[in-house]
Amino acid sequence: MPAYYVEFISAQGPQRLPFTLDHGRPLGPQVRQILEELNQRGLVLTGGPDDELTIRWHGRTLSEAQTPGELGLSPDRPLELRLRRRPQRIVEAPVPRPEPAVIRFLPKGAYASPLAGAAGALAAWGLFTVVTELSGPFSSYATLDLLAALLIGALTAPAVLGADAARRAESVPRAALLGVLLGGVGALLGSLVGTFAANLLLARGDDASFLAARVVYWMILGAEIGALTAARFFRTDRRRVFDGVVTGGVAGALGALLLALPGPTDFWHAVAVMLLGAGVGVGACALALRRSLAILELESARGRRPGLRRLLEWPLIDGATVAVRVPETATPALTVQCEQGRCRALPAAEDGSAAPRAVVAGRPLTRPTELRNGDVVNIGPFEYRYRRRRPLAS
Amino acid sequence: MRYAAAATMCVLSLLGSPPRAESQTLTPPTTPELVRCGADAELLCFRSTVTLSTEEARLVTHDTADGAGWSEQLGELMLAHVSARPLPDIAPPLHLLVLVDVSGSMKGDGLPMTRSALRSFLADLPEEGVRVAVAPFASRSVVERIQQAAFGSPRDALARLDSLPPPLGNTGLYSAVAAAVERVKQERQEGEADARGAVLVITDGRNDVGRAGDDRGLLAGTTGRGSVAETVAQSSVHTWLIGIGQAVDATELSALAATRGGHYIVALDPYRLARVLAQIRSSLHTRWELVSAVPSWARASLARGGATYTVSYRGAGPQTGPLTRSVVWRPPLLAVPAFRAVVDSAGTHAPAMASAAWAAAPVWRNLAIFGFFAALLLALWFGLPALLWPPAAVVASAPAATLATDRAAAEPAEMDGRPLRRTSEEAPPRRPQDITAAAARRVQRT
Repeated sequence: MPAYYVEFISAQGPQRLPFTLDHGRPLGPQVRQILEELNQRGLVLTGGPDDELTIRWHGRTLSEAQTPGELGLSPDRPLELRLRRRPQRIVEAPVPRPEPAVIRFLPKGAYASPLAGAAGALAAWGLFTVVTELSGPFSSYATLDLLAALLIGALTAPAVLGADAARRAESVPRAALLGVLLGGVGALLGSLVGTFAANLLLARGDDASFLAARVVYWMILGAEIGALTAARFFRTDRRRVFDGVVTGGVAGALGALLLALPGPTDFWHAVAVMLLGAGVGVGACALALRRSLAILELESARGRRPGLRRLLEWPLIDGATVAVRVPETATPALTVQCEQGRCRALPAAEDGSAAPRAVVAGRPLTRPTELRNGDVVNIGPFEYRYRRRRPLAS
Repeated sequence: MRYAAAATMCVLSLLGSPPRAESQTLTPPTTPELVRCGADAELLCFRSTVTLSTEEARLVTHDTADGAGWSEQLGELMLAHVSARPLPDIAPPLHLLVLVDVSGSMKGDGLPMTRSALRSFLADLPEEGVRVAVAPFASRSVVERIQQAAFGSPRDALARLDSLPPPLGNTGLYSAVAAAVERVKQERQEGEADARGAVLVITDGRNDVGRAGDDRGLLAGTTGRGSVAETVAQSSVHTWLIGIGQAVDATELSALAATRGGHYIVALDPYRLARVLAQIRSSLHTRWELVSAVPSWARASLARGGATYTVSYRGAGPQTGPLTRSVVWRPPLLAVPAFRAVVDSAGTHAPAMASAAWAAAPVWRNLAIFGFFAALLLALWFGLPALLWPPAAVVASAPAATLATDRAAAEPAEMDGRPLRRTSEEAPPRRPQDITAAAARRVQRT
């Protein structure tokens, strides 16, 4: 096999190295093998990951599909390897392969959000059970209830919204502060309305009316906190508010009934409060994830699977535009748009930053590309997977 | 706007006290308050106040510092270590007219003994809530003296006690009682709407009028006695009659007291008279404070639900009780019940509570519950996801992406019967010495 000098430009400067070429095999695979060997030596061609490789010999561009013999190559002149910008074509890429079947699965966020809500509610329970004396502004049981409700709202909502922001690579402190505000307002409204409704029932004066009054109070409180927490997403997904009302209210009612169980009431009390928090988490985030068209989820980061703590997950619904970020990077690496049941990935705008470029299903993302179930999106060392929750409409 | 209106209504309901349950036609006890049994103790006690009628208060013995006779119940739960004490204030307000017999028969030890006992009685009455008038009666100017009686503080009444006229004349008992009842009713009409009225009569003889010098028209005989008894019975004025000495007619006093009052006959003995007056004074205190221990150390155990709180009194005598009052105890709707106050640790409650078996229960239970659930949440956060989403499940759930290029379709699938290598994973790269290094050396040689 004749030996050719291969010339290219690497980070170390212009290089010229000898390689043998088989004149009977297509040129493209041989050149890519050469590139692999160079890569193992630490030599990489200068250029972007979505640039196009061109092979030139004696001033002409060679076809990769033809053999060196067919191309009439000889070793007296070197082969030149260059990376050049691929011409931008704004066309829809055809989908040659069939869409893989949709498999039902539980989004991790749908599991994590009630846990976050329960954790916030548990923290609130731990705080308000410390209050042992009626004094100052909290000199009656009605105001003591108000204090407990405020603590539940102001700790549950930030836990749910903070965890959600972390899953979407957004600012957690900002989301938590917003959660304190929304949860506090929800708890205030819920406690006031709940107290009013409970007093109407308590006017009957018998023992059974207390249980009914408590159920109504907890239901209203849970519904208000759930609604206000989910109001964070009002502009993008209005149905979440309805979800928050329903699940918060149901969880509150169940918690109130749980509290009446015989046995260790303080134990049941903690369970009831956590149930209310979990209901808020389900309404604000979990149902939206289960209802979504598809989910883009971080599957591995630097070769390691992320746990719930480092989870990145975006619910994709019709009409949504999601900017996908990677950790430690402020600028989005790509944008996912969903319309009419289909989602497509759009490359991020060129801003001259050093952010890694996205690779969708093995192809550098240089143009809008429709995402298919199971597609892997690589952004630097981060690997995301696009998973549909609902099959495509035929 | 809807929220604003609802919030306004709820703030108003928060400011107002919750509606209370009525128990029959009796005044229910106040809703019990959760209090600490001692300043440093986490022991739970209930404190409530019971208001009795004057008749009921007369039946309750005051030898109940340890709560004997009283019992309390919360739902099915019997409360322990009940202690009861009359509250020092008198409520509702009381108008008390003290009639002192100054007939000639009170000469000797009668009037001084009466004055001494009444002085002690009046001195022990609270300044607030009670207005007292002192009026003498014999058989002359009976009605006028009583009509002129001025109600004032117990201290003022003490001064009037010292200015009683010397004993003279006969005993216009019937007319005096009738006039006293009317005077008290008149005073009540001029005072607070809910004020009570009472007449206390101390006499040493029976009704004896119609002699020279006596007022005309004084009530006498069976007719007069019946008229007075009816007046007393139909009034809402409680009447106590105390007869001292041997000349007292028990039948007469009993008839006058009728159904709305009481009568006592004592010997000419200062100690016994003082004791009777002490009993009467006690029955003026109709409000009792009850404290009882909850046989549980966990405040949360009281949060389970509303329960009927019942207070009962059963005295030793056949006519005493049971007196029963009940009200619904309501814990907070959301929070854990908190203590409203601390029961006086110097009282009888704290030692009794400290010896209770449940006092030794651990107080770190809430901390343990918090720790348990925190650990559970951590396990659910860090542990369970690895089981729910194992790595294999993720890979199996969707096809793995393959490396593809725009030109892959143009590449031949195989060459010389061997499949072409498409990714670096399909076949290991050639070692440099296989081709490259050897070729380079060959190039250099050539």
